[in-house]
Amino acid sequence: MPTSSSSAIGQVVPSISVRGVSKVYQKGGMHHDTLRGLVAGLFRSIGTPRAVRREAHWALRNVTFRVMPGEVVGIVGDNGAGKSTLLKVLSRITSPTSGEVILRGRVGSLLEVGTGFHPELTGRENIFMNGAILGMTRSEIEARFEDIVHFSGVSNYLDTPVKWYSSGMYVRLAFAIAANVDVETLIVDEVLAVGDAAFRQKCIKRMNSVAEDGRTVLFVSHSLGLVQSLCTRVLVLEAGSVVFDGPTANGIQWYLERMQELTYSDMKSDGQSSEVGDSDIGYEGIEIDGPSVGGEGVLIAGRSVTFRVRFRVGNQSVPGARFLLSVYSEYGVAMLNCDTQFADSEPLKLEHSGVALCSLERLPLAPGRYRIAVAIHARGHAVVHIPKAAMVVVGTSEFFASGLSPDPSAGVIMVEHDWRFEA
Amino acid sequence: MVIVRPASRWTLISPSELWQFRELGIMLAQREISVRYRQSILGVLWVIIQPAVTVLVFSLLFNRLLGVPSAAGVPYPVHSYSGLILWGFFAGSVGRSAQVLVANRGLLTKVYFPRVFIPLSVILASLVDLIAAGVVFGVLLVATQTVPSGNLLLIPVSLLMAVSCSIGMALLVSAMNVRYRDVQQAVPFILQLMMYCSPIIYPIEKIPEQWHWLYSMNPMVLPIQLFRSAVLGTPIDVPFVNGVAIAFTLLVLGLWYFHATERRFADIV
Repeated sequence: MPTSSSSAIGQVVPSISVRGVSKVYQKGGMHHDTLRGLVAGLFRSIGTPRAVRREAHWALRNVTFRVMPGEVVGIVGDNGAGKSTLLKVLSRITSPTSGEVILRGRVGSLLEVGTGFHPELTGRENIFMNGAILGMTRSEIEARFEDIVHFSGVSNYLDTPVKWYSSGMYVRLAFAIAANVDVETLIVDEVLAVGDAAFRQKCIKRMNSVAEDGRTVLFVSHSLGLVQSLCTRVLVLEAGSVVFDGPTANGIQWYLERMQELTYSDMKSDGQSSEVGDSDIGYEGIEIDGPSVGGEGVLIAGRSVTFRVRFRVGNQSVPGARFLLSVYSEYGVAMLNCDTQFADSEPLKLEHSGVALCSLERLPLAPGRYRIAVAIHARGHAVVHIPKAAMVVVGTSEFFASGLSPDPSAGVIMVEHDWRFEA
Repeated sequence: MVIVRPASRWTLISPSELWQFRELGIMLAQREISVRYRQSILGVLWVIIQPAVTVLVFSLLFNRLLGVPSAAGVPYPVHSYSGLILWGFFAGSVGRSAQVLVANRGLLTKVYFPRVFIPLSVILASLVDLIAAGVVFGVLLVATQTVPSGNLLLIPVSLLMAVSCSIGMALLVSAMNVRYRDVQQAVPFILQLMMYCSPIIYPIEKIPEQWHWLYSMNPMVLPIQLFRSAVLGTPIDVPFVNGVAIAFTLLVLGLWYFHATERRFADIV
């Protein structure tokens, strides 16, 4: 009866085990860039009570989770939620303030492609340098050399210093090295956000195959679409704590709903304040109506949506009024612009307070997060400008009959189109 | 299996980890060496030009014009070069180390490896320069028909001490500069003062005997005297124990300070 040995084999050991990890940064009074600063700081600190002197920022707060071999785990969260700090602790770049991390097997971290590339060294030399940084031995790099060169597609420039490379070549070579590292656990931060679409596809394929080989991948990204297509499990970080840990679909849903909650409460506090001047017309707020999926206000592409801009008019009527509503991507790129002048060139004259309704029959935005900005003009001048009137999340798409939507790297706005074939 | 815990302050260095990352250490040193003279017309010749021109100027100015003597029975150029050889190694290592961690910020904040390899790579590269300078010294001995007459076994001892002082000082200076950028301003100046306070331009006999204890606080005095004695048979003239104690203290202090601060480099660099 091989009981003892079978239990030893049957017991799978986690690749990453994080127990109660916290990381505190001291704000102010701590980083003296010059000795003079240190001396001045010492004198200042004599007079101030200790609590005031050191303001602590908890980048991570009691984070605990385990990752099993073969899992592909996505980490999502807003900027400043602690994603980067977590990766830095896991990659041993910075040490935790408390708690411990146990890593089994070789860990390769890709917090940025091309780390350790030296501009004066040639592509060939940098392959060896970067490979060594990622933990490969010289003989391993030699064995992989052809693959790396082939993957990168820069074979003609191997003996050129990388400072003469185009940024595309540079990134391709860097990723090719990283993709060919033999590690049990791969930690990736947003590296896929670079390069052209074709190369990106190549990278995603490569990451999938890494996972299929039973290796562990920890993936941090702003792109929920990528997380959805790559990961089996999702951790949501908020203010340094893990607030969700579970299957990808649930995790993303949870995150989107949470985003909605936060942006709405955000809006109530700062919506009015960015009004320009005091005039006879004012902005009161915005509501978004339309079929939604999952959480409150998660819109569906291809279905109708109505933006209801509430405004207030004072005692006098307002001539020459004009409403503008713009949609920006979460990276700040302008996507759509709806203007009362487009629909009707006659100047508006507003007599009393009300609601301006802007309806889109079929929302043409691919799933993702968007920011809505509102501007109101009166007498030919902009009197109200609300750059962050609302954040909207498009959850799924019914724009095309297939239910598919473009990868955000390829396009965000969907238009109806036909394909025909001629002999 | 790797366990990541809050930094402990009371260890000096982990040999097993250095061994594990040895290939990276070698690559960093290779990079340091191969990058140093890229895109320069004279290239590696700089290794020879610098000490050669320095000795020429010293000989003309100090020896011929100001009448500074050399150590007994040694031609002045041989005297000053025999001092410059180890001094150049020390000053090169320490001088370049001051900014090396800051210059490699990208590496520090993006990837883990024993950080000590960065200043060590500078020292390894300086060792290569030292070998080249040693060859020039041989040529100088032949040219001036100087026959080596000392206890050649002292050469490795002097080298070991110079390396130990360089490592200690380089670790200290590089780690301090991550936090206090004053260090990179102060280092060239301190190195210059230290050179004046070492028997390179003048022989040690010029320093009154009762001040030798203070003079030998300069960690490079004993290695220079040992090397000169090994090759030229001149007397050592400084207390051996003091020098060894200083070199050892410097090494331990450097390792300790570097290790105590390295876990926070990525946060403050």
